[in-house]
Amino acid sequence: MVDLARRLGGRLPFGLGGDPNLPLTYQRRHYLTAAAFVVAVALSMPVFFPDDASLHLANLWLIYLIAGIGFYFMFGLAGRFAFCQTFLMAVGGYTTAYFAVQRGFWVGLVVSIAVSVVLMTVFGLLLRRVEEFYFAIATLALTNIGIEVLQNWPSFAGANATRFDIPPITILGQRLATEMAAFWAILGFVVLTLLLGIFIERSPIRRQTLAARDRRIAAEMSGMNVQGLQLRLFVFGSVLGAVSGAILGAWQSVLTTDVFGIDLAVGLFVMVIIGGSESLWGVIIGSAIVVFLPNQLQALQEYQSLIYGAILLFGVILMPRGVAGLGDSLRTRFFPRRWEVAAGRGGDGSLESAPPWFKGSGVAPVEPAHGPDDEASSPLLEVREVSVAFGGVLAVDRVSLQLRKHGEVLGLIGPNGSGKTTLLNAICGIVPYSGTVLVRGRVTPRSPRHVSAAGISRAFQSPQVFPSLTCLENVLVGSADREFTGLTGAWIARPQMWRHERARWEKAAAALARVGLLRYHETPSRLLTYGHQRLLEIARGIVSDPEVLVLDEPSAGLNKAETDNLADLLEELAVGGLTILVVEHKIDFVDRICNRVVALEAGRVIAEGTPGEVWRAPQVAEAYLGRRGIAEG
Amino acid sequence: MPVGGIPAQCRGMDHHQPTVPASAPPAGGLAALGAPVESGVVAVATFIAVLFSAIAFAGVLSLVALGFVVLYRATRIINFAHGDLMTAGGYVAFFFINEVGLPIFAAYGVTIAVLFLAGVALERLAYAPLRRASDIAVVLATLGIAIAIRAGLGIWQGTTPKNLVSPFGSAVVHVGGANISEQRLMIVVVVLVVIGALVLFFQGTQFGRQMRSLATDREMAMLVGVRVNGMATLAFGISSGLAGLAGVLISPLVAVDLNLGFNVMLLAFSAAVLGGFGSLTGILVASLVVGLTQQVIGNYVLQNYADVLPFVMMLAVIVLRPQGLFAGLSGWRV
Repeated sequence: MVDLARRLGGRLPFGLGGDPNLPLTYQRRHYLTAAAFVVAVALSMPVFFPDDASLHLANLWLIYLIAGIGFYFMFGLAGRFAFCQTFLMAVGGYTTAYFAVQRGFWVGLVVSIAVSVVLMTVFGLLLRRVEEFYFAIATLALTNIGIEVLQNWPSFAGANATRFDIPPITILGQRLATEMAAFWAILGFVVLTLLLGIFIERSPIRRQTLAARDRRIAAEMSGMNVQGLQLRLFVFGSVLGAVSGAILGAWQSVLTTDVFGIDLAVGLFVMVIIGGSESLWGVIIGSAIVVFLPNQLQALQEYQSLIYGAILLFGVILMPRGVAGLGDSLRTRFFPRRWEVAAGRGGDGSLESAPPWFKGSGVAPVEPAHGPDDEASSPLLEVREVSVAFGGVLAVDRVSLQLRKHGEVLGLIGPNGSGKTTLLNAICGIVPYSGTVLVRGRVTPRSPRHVSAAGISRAFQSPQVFPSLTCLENVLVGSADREFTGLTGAWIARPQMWRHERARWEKAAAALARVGLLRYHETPSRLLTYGHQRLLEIARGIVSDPEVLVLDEPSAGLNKAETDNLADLLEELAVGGLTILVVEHKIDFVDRICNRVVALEAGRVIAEGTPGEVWRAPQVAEAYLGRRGIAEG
Repeated sequence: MPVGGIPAQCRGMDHHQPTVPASAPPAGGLAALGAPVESGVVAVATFIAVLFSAIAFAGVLSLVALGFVVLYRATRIINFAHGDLMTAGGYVAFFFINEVGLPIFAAYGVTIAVLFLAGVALERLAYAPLRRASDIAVVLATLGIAIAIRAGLGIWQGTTPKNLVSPFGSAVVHVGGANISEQRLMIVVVVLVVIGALVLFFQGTQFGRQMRSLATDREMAMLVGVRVNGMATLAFGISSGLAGLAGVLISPLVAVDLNLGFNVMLLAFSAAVLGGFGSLTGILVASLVVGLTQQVIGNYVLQNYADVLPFVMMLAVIVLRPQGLFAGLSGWRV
């Protein structure tokens, strides 16, 4: 079997593995899978769902699937721990019911979509800075309040929030009152939902949201609007919840708030966890399990919740990547991708150097934005009297420094705790500070995202790569071109999105080639060695052609060969015109790459000059060694 | 069970033992306050009864909230099974009193011990295997445990609500014309004693200091040799024991049913958030605020929304002042 796989070049037969002429993200044949799923459900209906009772279950499954896909986007992809999807289903259900009585289902549906968009945008904006647990608690509170309001609003939701009079879906005047008619209508909704979902999966949104979910600060520092994207996915997921609720009401013709209880909330978590939190297709399996399993276990009715609980607990422990992850490991076993073969799963260790879609050459340098040594009119980066205080401690005390020339490399040295990293964090807008930071004479706004947009890229002390993304995607997140990377590009302007994406791929692949990692373009970055992760971060930093690249101890944790390699790379980048601000400890590394060095001690600048001057300065020796150390040395 | 809808018994806590002379239960919102039927004396008595009810409820809430916060600060985990552990406290106490026939206070002791062990088991089952997983995975696992505990209790004891006897029967104390059940007074005393004991534990013992060091700086604590894993087990045990105690204390005042703990837990969330998730004083003050809001305002002004008022406050706090309302209060930290 493995032999067969190798002969197939590590690809599934019949092109099922995907189109090799696209980057890995876009190889997945989502449309084919979706079509196969819908046709299979439609064809299997007479076999598996022959009577109204079983068809009823199938309908319930498809309705929950819509809410589940919405939940997948907000919880699985965006990583927002939301408990309010059941409330949104209630909002959709009751709003549609209220308007449908007079004006029909479709008017009700449109109103309920509008209501949920407004409601969740406001709520999401209020909670945009709230993290994990507080977000979970806040959405739980919203659900409680919302359900209570519905129960106390008889003119809208009916007495005790019970409605018996909900008209069914109508199409061209036909009332879809039977299970069979409803089935086709619901399947139509599922197709639409899948299409909207696939458009997002096959767009820059997927990599961005996964990056932001796993490494928020690094994503912002790469220039992403994390809050904006998470808000959009949250609202989109909520709208799917509302649509699901609207269909549920029209299909049952009855609504009570009991449906939207904790059991369903937990059921949604089970759907996404069982399915695999990073796979759209996992939700289909997950929702099928949630709907059909209890039905199969009629005899064990009273154990149903117990089984749900056990599934959730052991699912998280034993199958952290869900059914989809399980499928992925099977594919890896039998149809390994090239990097998987190379990583020791039976291959000869060779990797093709460049992807087939890459038009540049494997070693082409990124075009330098500026010639070396061309004197800028105003400093590229100017730090003016910047201070950072943590409580009563002044970590950085009125530090000023300038980077005037393209291709200049300024080293920042000082003993541990002298405020080097804190100064970098201030420059990048990660910690609050007093004073001014200017890029090309303009004051930079104090948020990582705007600092990045102003032209500063940052690599962190311990490499902050986005673990669930491939190397190429990691670099793509840093692209300066952010046109059509949002919902507009995914849903409406797809041709433009594709055009910009192709340009972005080229640029990202060139940046990967620049640091020597192009052959790992399909490899998930979490599998890279520490040294390679650092190079990857530098590639992500330079892909946007920044004014200044900020590095925090780039040689830390690297061996001699890796350090030399890194110094070569930084020298080449500087010769190409890239300006670098680097915090570093290793003396020969600093000597080699830096034109100028600033020494910090206790938050203050104590020396500035060429590396040789600074190392010889008595106050620097004293800062590192202490008075006695000098006397004895 | 709807996520919304705290059952009425948590609100008034008066449904089994009327504390007010039969004349008039507080009803009808603001209008009723000035209603001529209700004489001034009765109104005052009613108010005092509601006040004591609120204070006792706040005591229980503060125990639940403390359990949350102790665990959160030692492990950075929010335990969604906390409420159901509290429910379990009620059922286990019921079992030992009514089916085993232990004396009431002995049953209380056994219950708290059982719950402590349950907490330890929970740590082994849902937290230890997930130490390398994301926080979200751990929380989902606790959610799974929560559902499983509830289902398990239902299978074990059935779904009919239980009534737990109070060690004081229906004895009452007269305060300003109102009858205050001794159970409520006991709650206040027990809560004060427990909090005193916790202060001693966290400030005065090596274990307590180590646990607090985890909350301040996990990595540093590990480096200086705090046994992080052992601490997590202990924190789960203490937290769960507190939940069990809360369940034991509240059960004689309400009907014990499967949703009891989950609903109280949501209110305790509010108290913990309002208190800033850290200071003991903050938690106590916030619990009082939640208890009073829910019972006093809920009784007189917005009856239909009594249950969700604390959530509205909590939302406002999360949005406007995420560090908590009373976090600035100095005092002991857990």
